[in-house]
Amino acid sequence: MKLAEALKISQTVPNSSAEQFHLYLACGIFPLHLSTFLAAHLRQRLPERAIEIRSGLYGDLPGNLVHLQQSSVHAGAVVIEWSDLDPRLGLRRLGGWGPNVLPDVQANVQRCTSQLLQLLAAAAQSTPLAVCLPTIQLPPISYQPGEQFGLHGLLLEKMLYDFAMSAAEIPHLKIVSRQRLDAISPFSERLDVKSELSTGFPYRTAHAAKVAELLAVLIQPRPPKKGLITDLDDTLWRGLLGEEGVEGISWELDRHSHIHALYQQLLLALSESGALIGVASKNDPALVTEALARQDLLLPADRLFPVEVNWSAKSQSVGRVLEAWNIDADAVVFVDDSPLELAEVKSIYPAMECLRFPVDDEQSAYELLERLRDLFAKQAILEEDVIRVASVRGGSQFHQHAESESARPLQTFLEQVNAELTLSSVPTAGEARAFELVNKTNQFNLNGRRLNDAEFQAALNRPGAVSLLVSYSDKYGPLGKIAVLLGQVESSALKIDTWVMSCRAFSRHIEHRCLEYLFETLDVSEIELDFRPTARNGPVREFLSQFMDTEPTQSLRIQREIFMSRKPALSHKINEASYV
Amino acid sequence: MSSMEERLKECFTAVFPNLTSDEILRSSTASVATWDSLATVTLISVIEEEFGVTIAPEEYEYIVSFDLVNQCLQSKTVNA
Repeated sequence: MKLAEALKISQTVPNSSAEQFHLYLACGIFPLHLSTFLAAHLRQRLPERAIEIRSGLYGDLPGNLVHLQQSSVHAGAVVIEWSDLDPRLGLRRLGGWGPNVLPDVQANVQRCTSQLLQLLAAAAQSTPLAVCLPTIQLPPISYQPGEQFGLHGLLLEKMLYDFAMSAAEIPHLKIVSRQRLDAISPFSERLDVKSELSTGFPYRTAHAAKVAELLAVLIQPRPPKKGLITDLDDTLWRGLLGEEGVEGISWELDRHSHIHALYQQLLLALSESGALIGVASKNDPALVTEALARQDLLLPADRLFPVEVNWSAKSQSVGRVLEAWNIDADAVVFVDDSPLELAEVKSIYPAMECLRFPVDDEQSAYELLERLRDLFAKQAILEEDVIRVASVRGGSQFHQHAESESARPLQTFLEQVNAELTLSSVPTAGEARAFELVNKTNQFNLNGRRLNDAEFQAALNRPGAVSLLVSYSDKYGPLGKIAVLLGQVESSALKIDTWVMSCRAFSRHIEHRCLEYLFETLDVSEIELDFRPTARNGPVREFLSQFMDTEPTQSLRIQREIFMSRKPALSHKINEASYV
Repeated sequence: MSSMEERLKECFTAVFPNLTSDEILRSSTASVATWDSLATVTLISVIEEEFGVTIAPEEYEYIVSFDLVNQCLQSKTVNA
């Protein structure tokens, strides 16, 4: 992104009533273009929000961190440079570069990093932080050759990494990857001496753009993809199964097809991290069954669900996979070696990320693996991630049985599956799965609103706060934590402003049971729901319609009597786990 | 208007989005209230990035209007 483009993007305001996103940029350098680029990158990630960036005084990173802590902002970006750790490591202060000052510089860096750690920990208690470690080279302070990684430089780097290790353990604090920054911003093209000396801003504009880009990614990450649909021939393995047979296909070094082994290895890692992996292949089903039974496959066949193998259009197979997973196309990546197949699927599912497996270009194929890692990246592996494949399989059986017993009402079927709900409040310090659900659920989502760390914690800690975290299991297996509800009680009414439920939990009357539970436990006469229609929250609109005389289009209230008279019979067993 | 002037106008538009095309041609630090020292630094960075030239800090005080910036740029690209 060029500076002129960043200025244009950051100057556009969505509309006069757009909600503001406040960011505090804490740094010791003069923020100049960094602030502009940060505003532009955040604007691209939050197109409906107006971005407002505050920053503090030049040369006072500790003081600015204190201000950050005291500011009521949605997030903080902290940019540290060597000059913040000791002014002699910058260009604007003259304190000597001789050998006699080196021990004092080291001692000062040690002191500064300890102080910054305390300030970061204090600030992160109320505000999520993205931190960038020093990005520009040390000045020529060492007497040893520049080509040599000398003891002085090593000591400073060690102190920095010790600091980073401790900082990375602070909740709600993320650190920009130096490796990623190195890959996109050449080290020798970062420092702008003229700008540093004339304005106190040490970055070339291209480098400032990259630093801002990575900070924006950490501040406002895109939701991770949920599922990957892969082709088989010349994608999961090298070769055409129909022509070369089960033993003819390969994924090994000796046959120059090792890149496919790496792809399988990555898919297994993604699956173990909670991603769904499905197959859409034009092939002979019997041959594929035989091939997937090969013991040397790095991705065991039981990790693949569903496996759609037939001779029909790829988009039809992809559609069946989406149906089995019950997730939207924009949460899915489709990988195939054929540009034609990719285009065909893209034409039916324009929101789906369709990526080519470049079978004849190992370098590009490796870059694809890196890209897939990024698309599915998450902060933590949760219990729900571990059981996701099994629960989707179980869910598929559930729906098959429910449909086969269509002569009987759903509640009769539900009574027989031993449905159990475990209800608890969301811990006030936050809960990773609850946070994830709020920020990635689209279909059963009351209003489409996303919450960042600070907003999520504020919702949990406001006066009269009510929260509900719902886990579900039945005889087909556990689904884990599948729903979150946030609201507050005001006089005799409960106001709900956040309510999401995983699409895996549909058709089980869980939403009815949640409202019934809240009416009974909180003893309120009505529940007000901050409903807003979105392009994708049809399921929640349909649910609410049951208690209204017209289809809802805005915030609404459900009276207790009406709810109780219209709800279906509910038989879920309730387990209360520390719900208050 | 030359293509260089058109590109320079785009640079001005990025920094002073509220000025009309005509106002940009007549703009100076005296006539544009928002043209302060910070705007000067930003404008110069945009121009350096767009044209691949370097403008020295000691030149900043002389380039106080669109015409003068244009002349400065012409001299640098002719001499390049």
